[in-house]
Amino acid sequence: MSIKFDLDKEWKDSSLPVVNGIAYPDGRVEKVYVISEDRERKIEIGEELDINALLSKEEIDIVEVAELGQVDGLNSGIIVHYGMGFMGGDGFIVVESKADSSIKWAAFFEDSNPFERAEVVGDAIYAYNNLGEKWRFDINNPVDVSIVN
Amino acid sequence: MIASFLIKDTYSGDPSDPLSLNLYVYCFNNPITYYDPSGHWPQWLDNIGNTIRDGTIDLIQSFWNDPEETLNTANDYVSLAAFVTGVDDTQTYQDMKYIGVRVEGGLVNATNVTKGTIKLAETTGEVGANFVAHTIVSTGEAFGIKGNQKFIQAVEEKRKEILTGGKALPKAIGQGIVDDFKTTINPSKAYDYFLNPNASLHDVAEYQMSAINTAMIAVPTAQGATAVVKYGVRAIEKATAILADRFGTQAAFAGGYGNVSWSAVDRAMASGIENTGVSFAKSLQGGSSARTFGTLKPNEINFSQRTVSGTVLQYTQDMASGIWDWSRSGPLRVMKRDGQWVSYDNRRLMAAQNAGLESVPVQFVNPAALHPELPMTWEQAFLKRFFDKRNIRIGGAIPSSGLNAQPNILPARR
Repeated sequence: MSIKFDLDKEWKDSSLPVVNGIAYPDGRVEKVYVISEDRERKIEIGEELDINALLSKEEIDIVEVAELGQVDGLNSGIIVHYGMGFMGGDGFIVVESKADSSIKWAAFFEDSNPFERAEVVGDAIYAYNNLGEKWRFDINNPVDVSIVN
Repeated sequence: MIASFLIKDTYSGDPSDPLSLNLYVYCFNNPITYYDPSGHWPQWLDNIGNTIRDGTIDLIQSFWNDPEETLNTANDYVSLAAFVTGVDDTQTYQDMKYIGVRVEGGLVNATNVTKGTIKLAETTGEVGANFVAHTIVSTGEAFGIKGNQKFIQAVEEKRKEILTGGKALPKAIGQGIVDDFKTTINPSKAYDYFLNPNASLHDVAEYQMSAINTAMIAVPTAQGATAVVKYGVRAIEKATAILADRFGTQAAFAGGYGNVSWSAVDRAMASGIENTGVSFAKSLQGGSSARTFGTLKPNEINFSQRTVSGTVLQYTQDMASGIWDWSRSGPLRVMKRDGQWVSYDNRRLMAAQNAGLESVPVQFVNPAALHPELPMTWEQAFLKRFFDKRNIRIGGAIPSSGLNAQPNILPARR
């Protein structure tokens, strides 16, 4: 039985896939690893996967999340939602198009910690977690993510 | 030579005191030590009575002002007396001390609840005014006119209007609430419990319940807004945690106390509103209260999830080397479930266990209180985690009392 992942529907149900990376509406997943080295946390880009294949093999969970807030990107045409899952280290960013309310992409990490604030500056989203870290996501190429402090 | 009266005393004497039966004797034949202006009663007895009376009043006042310090001082005297008389290591003394320590916790708790409740009543009116003013200021900020002089003046006028019995909080309502507090909860009623030797801790808990019920009615009535309920619950949660600390360290409740079950203690803690007035005001005005409320041994706490991320390794190193800053990370938030403490903060708990820490700071969270970040109670937040699909996938939902076994560490690349 084939599974058709629906990112918009999951988000409306307050759920997201535990991708540890970026999930797109077409079912692509780009893995993003958070590597700790000498007190520094760095981002490492991983492989690209198909979420429908992962779901059919039951290799990924879709879990409930809690939105902590949202910010209007104004001229960028997006709304950025941010929040947390229910295991201690979870955090997520969801980017919604203001034009049709569809989801452009969603980032979910099990070790980012909850994102408590976000802002849109030009083509970038800056998200702040409860560890005091500032994460930068490129709106149009979200796999280009970095921890900037 | 001791003189005697020519006319017999009008007081007929006490059969148990032979000297008083001699109706021609003044002051038990000891006029230097005693004097008797009425001719019937030695002043020294009055002095003793007055001393006892004044001492009792002082004791009550001292207890009211600082119950913990008063009890600690009393404990020091009792301990010293026990040491001097050599009974300090007897089982009877230990038993009495054990019961006494637990009762003390209840007394301290009840005193502080009462004080906090009175404080709440006193501050309710001002808090309401400040809350409305705060809301207006926030609105002004949103519209970019926060610094506008006319706007500032309008806010202040609104605040004064409310304070003096304006539209948002009619004075009669505010006064009614204060009166209700004074009737329901007052020091003299509390003293009845504190000083009544037959009052059990259960009685004290029940007294607190009545205090809480009044507060729970009064607070939303006074503020009349859902925001107030939200902030109020947070304030009560903070206050409850303080009470939990008092119960935990003062009363211990380590063993089963005859009259008070854990559920009763939990109810009392859940209802605690010590310093609610202060916390409530701080919450409304964006202030903060202390969040470190006690300590537990790490191995006394269970886990609430089956996996943690690898950052736990760095946490462990930092704790083992003594550079972990608990004031920055905050305490572990723990909740009592089926008689067992369960942590919401699993990485820090695991790190503390592996680093060999003897104790960790904890915040005892009230299951019924709102989680500070989530739109749900602590109980609901714990249950969401217990039944998270990731826990179910690798071993099943977390048992109600948590897991004693440490979580697995997730690989970084997964």
